[in-house]
Amino acid sequence: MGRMIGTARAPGTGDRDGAKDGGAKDDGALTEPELRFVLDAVPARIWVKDDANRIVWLNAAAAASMSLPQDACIGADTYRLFPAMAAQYHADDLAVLRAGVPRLGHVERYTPANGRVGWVRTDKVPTLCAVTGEPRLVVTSLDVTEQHRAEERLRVANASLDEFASTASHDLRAPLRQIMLLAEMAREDRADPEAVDAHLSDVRDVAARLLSLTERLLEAGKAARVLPEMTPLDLHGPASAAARAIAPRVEALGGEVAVDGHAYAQGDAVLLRQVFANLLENALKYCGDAPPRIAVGLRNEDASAIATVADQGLGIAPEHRERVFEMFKRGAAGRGVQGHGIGLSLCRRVVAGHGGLIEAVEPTAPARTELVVRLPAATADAARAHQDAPARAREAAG
Amino acid sequence: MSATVLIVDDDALDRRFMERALRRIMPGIDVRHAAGGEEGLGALADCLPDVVILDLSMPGTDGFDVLSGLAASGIKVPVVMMSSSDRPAERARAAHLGARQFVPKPISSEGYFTTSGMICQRYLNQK
Repeated sequence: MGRMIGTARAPGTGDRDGAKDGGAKDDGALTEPELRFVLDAVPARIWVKDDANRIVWLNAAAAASMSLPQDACIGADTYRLFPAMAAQYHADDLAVLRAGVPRLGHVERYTPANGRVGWVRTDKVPTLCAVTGEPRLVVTSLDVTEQHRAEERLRVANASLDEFASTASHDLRAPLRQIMLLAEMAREDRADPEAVDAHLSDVRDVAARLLSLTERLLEAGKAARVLPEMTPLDLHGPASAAARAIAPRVEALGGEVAVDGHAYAQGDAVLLRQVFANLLENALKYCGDAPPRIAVGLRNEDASAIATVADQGLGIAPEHRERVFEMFKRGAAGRGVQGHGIGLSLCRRVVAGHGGLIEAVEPTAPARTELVVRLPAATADAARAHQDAPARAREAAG
Repeated sequence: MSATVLIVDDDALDRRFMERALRRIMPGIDVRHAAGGEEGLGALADCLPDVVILDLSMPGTDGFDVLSGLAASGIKVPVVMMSSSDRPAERARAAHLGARQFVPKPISSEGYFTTSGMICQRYLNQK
């Protein structure tokens, strides 16, 4: 066996002077009740285990992580407490005890009693029992689930930002290149005022497209940065608001836009309204020559709130149904229609931020495009209660 | 018989830049336009050009799809792919799908002139 670190003794595992009589100690050391208090007050979970994988002592946080009283755990066999993980823990413990060297900062997955998978950072320090001299392992673990998730979100966000920057610079470059070329052509054709006029007119059009592109990029960037404020809500609210916004333009073309049903979801009303606004704008933009017929269907199914946005416009070819959600990519219907290929990519980001999915599916006739949004469901009662809460608060305020 | 070039690009301005440069090199050249990938594949079968100048990024059927469609149809025609970007992965994929060359879209009239000169010389036997 390797070098042993210290000779610690867990509280309550041996005689301790001072703790018995409660008298004040003059060497500055903590009494056993004081030591217990300190160890129970720290947020880290602390176990002292023997080499047979039994718990010799643990602090309050460790017992709470197993949803058991502290006393019930002392002396317990971890094969009984963590049947799924005990063998792995034991093997790790023995490796540290054999090496005689602490293993610090090890991050690993764990599944606590509530079944939600989390992450812990564990330190394992080998030592000896001060009373019996038997090997002991002091295990300290700290729940780093939130930190781990934040790091994972950051990693995904960084990768997404890299991709976004690369694609955005590519698409911003195209109009700038055209403006430079048109300026050169205007100079080359300066003897022909009509040609110069045409080039300048093109410069204005390209610059307007560039302006619109940068505005859409800013909008997309903002929406992607905002963390959704998840509340229970009826999707009828944001869908109807978006439908009302486009209704005058739809009706001017002799068409109609309708929202039917209810779907109760966990979501951010503002961001979801933006999603519906993008989907409905797209349906209107790609309606073709016929009057736009746009239908939003809402329903709950299993654990999902489902919104279907269907239109009878130009449609999306089956082979392009995934591509249209990529930044700056558009379906074949995009030819001749002003657009930047940002709207659906933005929708996918926002919906994914809600833990949901958005996809283009095989449409049911007479629809030619059908987009389906799936979000985590809420109950109708929760959505109504949340909707009523501000009104009740106003009533309460008098 | 004059040389025929098919330009497949959804951006009308870029088609115009290319045509203008080609005509400066070969005034009698027959330049055909297709405003998208599908239209390009249709035009290819009709006009059998001497060379295709193909944009990579287009709505719907993009440049890669056109290259795949060409390979599937068995039509043999040199393709010069053009793109606003110059990403190694796109360059490699274009070559894999049969593009003869991958050229970043020029940012100046001089650049278009040079690119057109290269295309005319290499694919249209322009001396």
